[in-house]
Formats: sequence, structure tokens, C-alpha cells
Amino acid sequence: MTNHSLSVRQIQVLFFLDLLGISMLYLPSMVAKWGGGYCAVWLGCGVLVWALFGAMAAECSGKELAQSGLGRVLLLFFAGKNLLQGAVWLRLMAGSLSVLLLPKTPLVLTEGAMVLLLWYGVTKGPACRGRAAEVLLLPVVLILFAVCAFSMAGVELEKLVPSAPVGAGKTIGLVALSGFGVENILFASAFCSQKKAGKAVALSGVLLALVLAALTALSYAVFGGTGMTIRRYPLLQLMDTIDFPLLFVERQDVWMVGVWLWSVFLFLWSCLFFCGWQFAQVVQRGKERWYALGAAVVMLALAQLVVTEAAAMFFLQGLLWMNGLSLILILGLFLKERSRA
Amino acid sequence: MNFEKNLANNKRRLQEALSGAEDVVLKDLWCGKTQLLLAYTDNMVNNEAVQQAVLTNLMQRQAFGGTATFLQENAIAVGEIKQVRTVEEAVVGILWGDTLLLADGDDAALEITTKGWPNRGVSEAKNEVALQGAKDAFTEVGAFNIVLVRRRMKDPSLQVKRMRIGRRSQTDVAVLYLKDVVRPEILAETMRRLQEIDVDAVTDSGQIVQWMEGRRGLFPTMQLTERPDKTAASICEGRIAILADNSPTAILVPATLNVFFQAADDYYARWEVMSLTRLLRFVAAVAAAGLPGLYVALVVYHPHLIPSPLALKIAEGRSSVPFPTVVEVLLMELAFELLREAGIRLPSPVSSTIGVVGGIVIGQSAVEAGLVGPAVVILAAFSGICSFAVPNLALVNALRVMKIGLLFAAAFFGLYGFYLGCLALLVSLCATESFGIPYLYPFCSGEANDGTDWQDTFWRAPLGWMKRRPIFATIKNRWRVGRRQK
Repeated sequence: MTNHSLSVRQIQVLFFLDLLGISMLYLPSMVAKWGGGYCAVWLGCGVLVWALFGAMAAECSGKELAQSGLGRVLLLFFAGKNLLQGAVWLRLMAGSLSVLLLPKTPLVLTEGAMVLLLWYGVTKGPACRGRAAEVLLLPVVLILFAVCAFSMAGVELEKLVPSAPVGAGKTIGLVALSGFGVENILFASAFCSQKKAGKAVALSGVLLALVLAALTALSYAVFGGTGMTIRRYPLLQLMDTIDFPLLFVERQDVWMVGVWLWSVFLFLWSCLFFCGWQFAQVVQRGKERWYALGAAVVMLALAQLVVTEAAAMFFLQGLLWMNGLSLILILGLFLKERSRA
Repeated sequence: MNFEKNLANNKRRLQEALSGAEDVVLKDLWCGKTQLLLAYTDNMVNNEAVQQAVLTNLMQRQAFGGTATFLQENAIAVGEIKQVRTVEEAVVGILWGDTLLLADGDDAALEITTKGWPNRGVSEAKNEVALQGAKDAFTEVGAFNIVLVRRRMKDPSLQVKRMRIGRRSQTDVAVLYLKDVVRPEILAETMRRLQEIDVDAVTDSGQIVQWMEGRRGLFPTMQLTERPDKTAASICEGRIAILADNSPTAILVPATLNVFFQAADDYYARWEVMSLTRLLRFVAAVAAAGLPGLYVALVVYHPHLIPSPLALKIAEGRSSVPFPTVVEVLLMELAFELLREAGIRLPSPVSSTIGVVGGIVIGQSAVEAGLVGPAVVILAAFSGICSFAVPNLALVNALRVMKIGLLFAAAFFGLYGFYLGCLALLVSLCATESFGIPYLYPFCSGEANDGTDWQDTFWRAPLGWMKRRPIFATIKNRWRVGRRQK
């Protein structure tokens, strides 16, 4: 429980929330295009791949990479990946907020404010991130549960009847490659005082698979296949279709943005934190916070290069190969760890 | 500087050390054929004790054994006596209300405890009022405060460690804890921080807290209380109490955010009722800090989120207001803070009148003059009332600052700014620790004590369920119930 270490439970929660935040918005509509009526199942299977690789990553320690030349190259790769995915997700977040909350505010201001907060978070150390995740878990789960419970009224089960099991492999593959930040578990475990958090992370991944599959199935049952594909963020719009009893506010989807924002914040925080840490490990000089500050500025600058949201999605798809490479590296490191054991 | 065997020289040294302190009495007297010197500070001693137990006993004796030890054992009828050998020690003792006795031919002096300074006696708690339970509160006399705690805990393992802080004030500080329940690392850290305080004067516990915290954080990481029952209960949970002389408040360490929502009488009434009250306090704290910011975010940036009838009412109220919403809210908050401040400084019979009359007159006049809308008056009053529901003043002050921060964040970025403000606050809270314990415990790291600390958070479990001490206690002694308790 010290200020510079993470508990296994915190790693579990971080894995769950980091990945939930970035996938709950865009994955449901994406898998609906490929997986049809089975999309929720395929989505769940794909997320199980994250769980598998997350568990493998948790069994290795990314800290040892800095001890060899090749390891430092790998660290640079992971740092660059964090920087790029952070920039793209920062742009996507700002774009979504611009549509939903701040249509007149320049994106750079929205992104700048977030980056400033992220850097503040990085300066507070890894334990702070773990604790924040633990605190945010309860409200996020409660709100998602409420969304599920109250949107049941709009469910039309016949929409869930599988049309044809199309694109299973493609959908699972796409989802498996969309696990942005799975590799960071490799480095989070370096801060864990209790070694070998593999089983815990795997359990967290299974829960994530169930939650995302349930949310996708629910959205599909409400909007149907066509409705899912034409909506950019079906889960947010699901919130707008329901009326919470006793809640007199309007446009409940906008309130849902808060929950989403908390999760995305945790993911971006992880990108910036590990980016700074990885650079510091490579250089082996100076404090991580200053590397993170530099990374924050670069992240903000890179986000400006992504002009439109469509471009952001394009870049995101471009980053999928980096995710694939990360998974291969995790596998390699895991096998090396096993052979050493 | 050590005492000599020559009394005249010792007297001269004392006079030099105390030159200008005209309230110090140096009295020569004879015991048999031996010359003695008695030194004490006028009105700081218990006159009866000095006259009966010291002076009369000494002057009635015909023979003198020759040493301070002989006097200590045969002539002085006071329980607490110690020998001092330096002028510096003796001077501190005299200024503290003890009586110094020096004998010719002896290089040791006797410091006789005869403290008896004026005090206001034990009175009722004014800042932490409880409907049920004990009414007494700490006073300015440190020794009395220790007694108030000791009365509630007749346990030999209750340790009282004394030290003096302040180079000039020489403030007596007592550290109280249960030696078999306290966590050694927290105790060591507490003692270290106390010993590191090196200032001229410490005149209140509040100053000790600031020196010990030694950081620039918004939220209090040490708890102040004026209630002996709360202090005793906290010590039983493994916490450490620091009592400073001249201060009617005890410092309790460590302190997590959760403990600031706990009031003493939460444990004296039925758990169902107190759980509701506890939950209400958490809601009140959130409302006190967040409502003004949320209002600004919704009215300025996202009026479409407000239900139409309410939005129309607010718009109607604001139609004649010449200021932007942020200024309007800030004006009302300023008025409320001024009333609060004036209410504290004025004598109590006047302050309540000022509070009520000021609130009604200013609010109504401001609305009638079209300076603020009625919704903002209600908002400021409601958020103010919510802050009063939080049972700790230090936390209320932190909430007041937070409120302003969230207000500005919402004014710049609307709901997004409000969310960012909340996240910044969360980061700050998550990074804070109190003596190594996360400030947000048990809301984070809650599994550390097998999750049992959740029993005393948003709700208060029945006493029979709360069998374990909280995380503050050493792991070797976490059970607070005995075998007979089922």
C-alpha cells in the first residue's frame, strides 16, 4: 500500500477500465458491421484474446527490458506506440466531446486541458493511478448496470436472432487487434509488489469480455443490425433511449459521457505515464515526469495533425499492426520467462 | 550550566537567567541551620501546595539531612518531584509553574510540581455538538485533557509520552496511544515529525498540524477534535492522539477522508438511523462542493440538459439580471461567505441574528433589485447548508475551496470542465497519504483489512458486526471484541 507500488487488485481494475473506456464506444458498431447477429459473441471471443495476452504480460516484468540493447529498442517501440495511440485517442475524445458537449470550443483547448490534467496525474506516481481506478470502478459499473437494466424495456429479442454467422474470424481478429494498451500490463506489473498477477488479469479480462458482449448484445437488441452500423456510438445513444425513473434530467447520453470520459482518462493517463517511464528507462537518466512532460507536448502536437475524426479512425486502424506486433512481443517475452523458470 | 554547591552563586545565576522576569519569586529560607532558596513564578503555582506542602514542612523542620534527596524523601509532601542539575532546566521548570528548591552545599535542585495556573474548567463541546453522548470537551490545560481521556480508558497500555515544542513557548505536548494496538511505523513517523518541529512558539494544535503536515495540500490529513470521547475511541482503534497545552483540541493521526465524515454520536444511536445520516453527509459534501459549478455548467453551456419547465423558470428569474451567470453565482457565494465570517467573529447572541436577518434581507433585496436570480439564492443557501452537514471544520474549509475551483472549471469548459475538475480532485486525493495510509482508504485499497473497513463508510454497520479494528491498528491486534462477544 505504498505510494509507488500497485496491488494485484489495482492492476486488475486498471486492465478492466483502461480497455473498457476505449472499446465501449466504437467497438459495438464496428463488430456489428462484421459479425451480424453474432457480433456480441465474436466481440467477447476477441476480448478473451486480450485477457490471454494480458495474463501473459502480467507474468513477465517489463522492467528487465532496459538491461539489454534489444530490450531498449523494444522499450522505444512501446513508448512510441503509447505516444501514437495516446495522440489518436486524445483526438477522438476531443472530437466526441466537441459533438456532444463543446461545439464551439477549439479542439486544441479541450485536448490541452486534458493533457495538462494527465501530466498532473503522471507526476503523482503509479499508485495514484491504481487508486483512482479503484475509486472510479464502482460508479462506472453502477452506471453501466443501470443502463443495462433500464434499457431492457426497449429490447426486441427477435433482432438478436442470428442472421448468419458471417465474418467470425475477421471479427474476432479485428477485436483482438483492437486491444490498445494490453501491453502496458507488462510494465504495470513492474510496479506490483506481489509478483505474478496473471490469473487476476485473466479474470479481469473475462469479466471485461462478458461486460462488453452484454452491452453490445443489448445495443443490438435495441437498435438492430442496421441501427448499430449507422450509429457512431450506439452505447451512448442507448442511454438516450431510456428514461430513468425519478431522474428528471434530459439528454441522459450526455451524462453517460462522464462515465466514458473517466475511463478514457485512465487509458490516456496510462499511455502518458508509461511513455515517460519507458523513455526514462531507455535513457536511464533524469526523472520520468520530465520525459512525460515532453511526451505530453508531443502527444498534443500529434493530435493536431489528425484533422478530422475520420482521419483519426484511419490512423487508429493503422495502429492495429502495432497492436499485433505488441501481442507477438508479449508472447515472446512470456515464452522466454517460462523457459527461464 | 550546572549548579554548584554554593547557594549564593546558584542564586546569582538564576537571577541572571531570569533577569527581567519580575513575576518570579526567589525566597530565602532556613531549614535548621541550612540555607535554602525557593523559586517559583507568581500565580503560575498552586499557592496552597507551595505553602502547605513545601514552605510549612520545610520551616517546621529543625534538622536538615544535607542533600536534595533527603528533602525529597522526608520533607516535601508533593508526589511529583524530580532533581535537576542545570540552570536551564531549572528556569524552564520555574516558568512552567513548578517550584524550585535549592539547598546550600548541594549541586542538585528539586523541581517540585506545583502547577496551578488559571483555567476555565471543563465545558461543553461547541464545535462538535452531539445529540447523544458525553458533553464535555477539552480545555486549554493539557494535563486536564489527558485526564479526560484517561477517565475513559483505564488501560495500563495507554501510553502518555511528553515532549516540549517551541524554543521559546516550550509548549507541553503529550502523545497518547495504546502500545499494543498502535502501528509502530505510524508511531515512529509521528514522533519524528513532532521532534522535527523547530520554531519559536507553538500556541495551538492547529500550528502543530501545519508543521507536521509540511505540505501544500487542500485536504486535512490530520484530524482535530475537541471531544474526549472521540479521542478515546480513536485511540482504541489504533490511532494516536496529540494533546498540546493551551489548546482545547486534540490531533488524531492518521486521518483518511472517511474519518472526517464520522461523528462521535454515530456510534451511540441505532445503526439504521446513523447509516442514513452518514450517507446524507456524503451527499451533502458532494452537493456543497459541486452544485454551484454544475449549475454554471448547465445554465451557461448546456441548458438543453435541464428539463424545459425548470429551464424556463431559471431563464425567467435571470431575465433582469445584468451579470453573467458565473458572476451572479460568485456574488452570492461571496455574500454567503461574508455572512459566515461575520457570524463567527461576532458575539454569539448577535451572530445568529446577523445570520438570519443578513441571509433573508440580502437574498430578497438582491432578487428584488434584479442583481441575482432566485435560483442562485436558493443554490447558494442550499450549498451552504450542505456544507454545515459535514461534521469537520477542516473538511468544510477544503470543500469551500473546491467549490470555487469547480466553479471556475465549469465556467471555462462547461460540463467537460466540471468533469475535469472532478478528475483533478480525484488525482489529488488519490495521491494523498496520511502517515502511509492512502487518504481515500477504504474506497481504494479497501481489501487491505479484508474489506471490513467498508462497514464504517457510507453506512455504519451494527456494532456487533464491526469486530475488527480499522487499518490504523497493528495487524497483530486487529480484533476489538473478546471471546465472550458473540
